[in-house]
Amino acid sequence: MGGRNRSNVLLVEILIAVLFFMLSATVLVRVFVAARNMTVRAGVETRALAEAQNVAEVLYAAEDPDAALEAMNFKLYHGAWTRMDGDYTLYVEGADKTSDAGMTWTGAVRAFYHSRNVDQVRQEDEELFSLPCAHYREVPA
Amino acid sequence: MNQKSRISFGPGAASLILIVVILSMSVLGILALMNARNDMKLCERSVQVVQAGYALNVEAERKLASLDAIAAMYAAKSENDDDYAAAVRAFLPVDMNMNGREISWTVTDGLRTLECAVRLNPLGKGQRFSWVNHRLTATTEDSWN
Repeated sequence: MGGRNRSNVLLVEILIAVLFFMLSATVLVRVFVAARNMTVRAGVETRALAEAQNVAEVLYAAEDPDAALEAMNFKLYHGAWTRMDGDYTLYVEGADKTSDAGMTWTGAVRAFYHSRNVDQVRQEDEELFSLPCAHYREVPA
Repeated sequence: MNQKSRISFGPGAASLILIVVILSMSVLGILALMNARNDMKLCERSVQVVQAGYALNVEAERKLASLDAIAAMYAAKSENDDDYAAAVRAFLPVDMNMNGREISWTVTDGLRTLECAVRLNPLGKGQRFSWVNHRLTATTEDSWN
C-alpha cells in the first residue's frame, strides 16, 4: 500500500514539474527569440551601414551621381534610387544645386530594414538610419 | 550475490531537476538578451558616429562652395595672380583663415571637429583649389565611444 501511495505522489509531482517547466519554457523561448531578433537586426544594421558608407564614398568621388548609382545596381523607383540587399533596402535621393562657380550635389543615403517590396519602402519599412552626403564640384574658369 | 544496485527516483528529485534546468535556462536567456542588447547599442553608437562625420562633411562642402564662389568671382576680375590672392584674402568668409595660399577652416558639432584646408591654385591653372587637409578629430575622449 505504502509503495503505491508513494508512486502516486511521484506521479503528481512529475505532472506539476512538467506543467511548471512548460510555463517557464514559454517565457524563456520568448526571451531567446527576442535576443535572436535583436542580434539579427544589429547585424543587418551593421551591414547596411558599411554598404551605405560605400555608396556615399562612391557618390562623393563620382562626376555623375546618377550613372554611379546605376553602375551599383540601383534602380529608379518613384524618383529615388533604390536597391534591395537581402534584409535591408538602400534608398538614395539627392539633387544638384548649381551656382556660377560650381555645382553641389546634396543628398542622403537611407537604409530601411526588411523590405520585401520596393513599392512599400516608404510606407511600411523601419528606417535604420540616414547618412547625409554632399559634394561640391567647381566649374573651372 | 544477487544484490543489485537500484537507482531510486523518489519524491523531490523531479522538483530538484526542474529547478536546476529552469535556473540554467534563465541564466542563458539573460546572457543572450544582454549580449543582443550590447550588440544593438554598439551598432547604434557606430551609426551615430558615422552620421556625425558625414554631417560635418556636408557642412565643410557647403563652406567650400561659398569660398569658391568668392574665388570664381575674383578670378574673373583680377588681372594677375597677386591681385587674385589679395582679393580672396580680403573677402574671405569670416570663419576661414588664410596663411600664404593655404585657406583653412574647421567644422565642429561639439564632440568632433573636421579640420579642412585647401590651397589656392595660381590664376588660370584649371581647378581653383586643391585639398591639402581633411581630418576628423575627436574633441573629447568619449566622442568615439
